[in-house]
Amino acid sequence: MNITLTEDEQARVLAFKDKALSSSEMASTSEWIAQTPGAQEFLERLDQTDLPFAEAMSPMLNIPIPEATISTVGSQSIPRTLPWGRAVAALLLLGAGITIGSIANNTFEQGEDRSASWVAQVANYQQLYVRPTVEVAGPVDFPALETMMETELEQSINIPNFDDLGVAFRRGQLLQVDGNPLIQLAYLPNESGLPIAFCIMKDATATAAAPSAGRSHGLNYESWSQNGLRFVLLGSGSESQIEALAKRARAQINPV
Amino acid sequence: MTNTNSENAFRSDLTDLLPRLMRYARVLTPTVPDADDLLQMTCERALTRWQQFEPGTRFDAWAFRIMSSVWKNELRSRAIRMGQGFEDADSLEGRIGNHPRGNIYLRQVLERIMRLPENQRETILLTYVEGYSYEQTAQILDIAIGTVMSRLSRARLALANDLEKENAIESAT
Repeated sequence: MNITLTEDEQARVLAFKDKALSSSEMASTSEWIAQTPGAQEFLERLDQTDLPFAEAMSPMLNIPIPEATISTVGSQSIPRTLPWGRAVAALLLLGAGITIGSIANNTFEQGEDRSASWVAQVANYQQLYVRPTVEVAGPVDFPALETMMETELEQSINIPNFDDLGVAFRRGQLLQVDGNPLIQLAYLPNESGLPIAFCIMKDATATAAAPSAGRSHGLNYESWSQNGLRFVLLGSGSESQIEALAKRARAQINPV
Repeated sequence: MTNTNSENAFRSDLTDLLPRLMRYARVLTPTVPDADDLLQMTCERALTRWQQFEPGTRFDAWAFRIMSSVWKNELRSRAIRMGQGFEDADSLEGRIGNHPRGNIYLRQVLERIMRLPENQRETILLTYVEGYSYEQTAQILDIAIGTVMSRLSRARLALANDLEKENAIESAT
């Protein structure tokens, strides 16, 4: 088909077609189209493309949102840098089941405040988790995960096994809190309940601290520190469940 | 929006908008990693500028405008430098997500839209899917209204030609 209309005339027909004109303009344009064969042909051409655009594109609303973005939007502080680039994204490929995200930077306070701050950040991130967040995780590449943990934490740490407590390990991922590497090990109760996380953060300033229980962002947690590492186990389970899992974790994390 | 509660409200609004922003990102970018990067950078940019958002105006249009700007001014050239500036038919499957296969017609429509040039498919999305007026779309894209209409015309003619060719092939077979 040869279009005989100028661009302005095409735009006028399009606006008529899309009902984007005032009532008086609609009337005058309708009259003009009726008298202009080229305009009629162009309108017929547009009529052929009355496609269900919105319906066709609606499934794209279900595309999963990357966890790094969910973390960024849900975190407590405004990010100061742009940590998520292709170089980091490329690291996503380093081992099945391992992803790397970031938790937005916060300025840490000293001493106990600092300890509470990192737990709060982790809890704030963890509260976004639902069962499908970790259910979709593929098979765990344990050698790759253990290598990553040893590299990032500069210590060999065992991955706790809670199978006999009805809680299954699902995946591990590397995050960061204010530049400190943080390993998040995600678990899922077998029957029901939200994901549970056991997190280990390398922090040279961490001094040995006995287990301490608390509640943050709707999650129960137990945290402690030793050997330059901070630990927290947290989830929406009962205080007794979190306590039992944390106790088990402490018994298993020591180097073989 | 000048206090913490407002910042929380802003974050909540941004969270609600993520699926629509992701769809726009997939429409703009040639690969899934590019879309993920674009969404992340858009959210970071929005968060650093949240106090610049004017209450009473449309938050979604404000966020879409940021995404459009980040893509065109920062990420698009990088994607081209990395050899991803051209449409890759093989990546279409990944970019449109898990579109239900039950409705073949709707999937074909989506594939046709996604094969349009970038500037045409984003204009289709904003105008015919998101429902923005020509003027609002022009503001989001920072272009003239006439350009919006020109893009829509060309997109629809391309779709009409596409349909015509398919019908001709079907008639011949």
